[in-house]
Amino acid sequence: MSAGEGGDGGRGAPAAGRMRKRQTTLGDGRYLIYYTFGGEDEAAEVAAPERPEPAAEAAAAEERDV
Amino acid sequence: MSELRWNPLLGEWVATATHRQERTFLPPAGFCPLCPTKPGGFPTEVPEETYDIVVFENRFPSLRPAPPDPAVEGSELYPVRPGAGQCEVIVYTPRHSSTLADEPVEQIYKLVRVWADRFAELGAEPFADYVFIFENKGEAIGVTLHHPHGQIYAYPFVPPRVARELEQSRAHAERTGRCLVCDITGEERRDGRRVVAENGSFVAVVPFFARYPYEVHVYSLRHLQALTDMSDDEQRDLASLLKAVISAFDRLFGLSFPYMMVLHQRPTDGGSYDHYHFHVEFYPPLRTATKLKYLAGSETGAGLFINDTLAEEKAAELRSKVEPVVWGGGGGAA
Repeated sequence: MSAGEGGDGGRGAPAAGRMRKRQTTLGDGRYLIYYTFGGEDEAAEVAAPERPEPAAEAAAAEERDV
Repeated sequence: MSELRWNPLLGEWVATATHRQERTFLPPAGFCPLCPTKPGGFPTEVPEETYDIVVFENRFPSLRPAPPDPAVEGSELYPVRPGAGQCEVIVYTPRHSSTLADEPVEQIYKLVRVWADRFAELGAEPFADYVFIFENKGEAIGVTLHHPHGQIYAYPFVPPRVARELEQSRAHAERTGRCLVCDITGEERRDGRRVVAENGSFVAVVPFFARYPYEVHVYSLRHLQALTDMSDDEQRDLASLLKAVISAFDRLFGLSFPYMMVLHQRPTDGGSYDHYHFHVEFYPPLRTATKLKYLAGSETGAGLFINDTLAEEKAAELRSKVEPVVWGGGGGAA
């Protein structure tokens, strides 16, 4: 078995992009965190929710880069 | 009720969590609580129509940040403490019928980054002395949900198996001046017979001391203690090697291979653990395509595992199933 069969080709692969996370609070008080990945523009789109969180399920939301 | 009860015979804690008896068990298709919530559909744990990777607090936690008082009073012989900690669920993909092995390596790389973030964030909590990341896969392991996911426990103490590794590592370092896992890695690579796969940053082996027939350990070639110590290249290489190993598992018998996957990292209790060494351990319960390795009297009652196979032979089987991992190639291995 030669070294590399375990795959180190990812070193030259395109970056997965900046990781961002958006935290919401579920209706029963538990937190839920959405992790998204992408470049600057894509991350900005992802970070802006496309629709309001259902009031019963998300009492709060927080966005931040990681 | 959830609490920690002390076992004075073994000197370790046992968690009781009676509410977990009520947790969701193998729900029918269309009612998976880990799938995205579709318009007009069953409201799942994730209230959006899609996601990439999500993490949330377990609805049925064994440990929680503000635990209730214990159900019983402790004594000098039997200390009891609240079950303080955190239990998270980490959902790998919105694709219900996928598995981690089926996901493209890019998704596993994202998962590695999320793991690192959870290790850092939970490890900073004052109640978290140890952050334990793991996956139970397959009904043979006892999973209650098939949707690809793992779990993260933040314990208020260093769990006993890791504590034993830490002690062995410390003793080895004091005796030899070297890292125990670095020495294990060096011996396995020199011998070669038990190596399953390797890349620029990690090596996967069926260790000399394997307890399960297809037990695999993944060791970092560089001496480091946690995911957060890794460079971006190392995190990519970890994703690649995990993909290579779990894809080889699936090819072995032509089925979705059940396993427990656990990450062993340094404690987060503020201590110094330079002598420790990050690694991933897989414990697959199958010994053939149709037979399970049971934890019976010797394993459970005495702590002596009896492995019916030779690590050298099982490593050769797995090695023959390893295929190159291709980035940008979509799902599955190339």
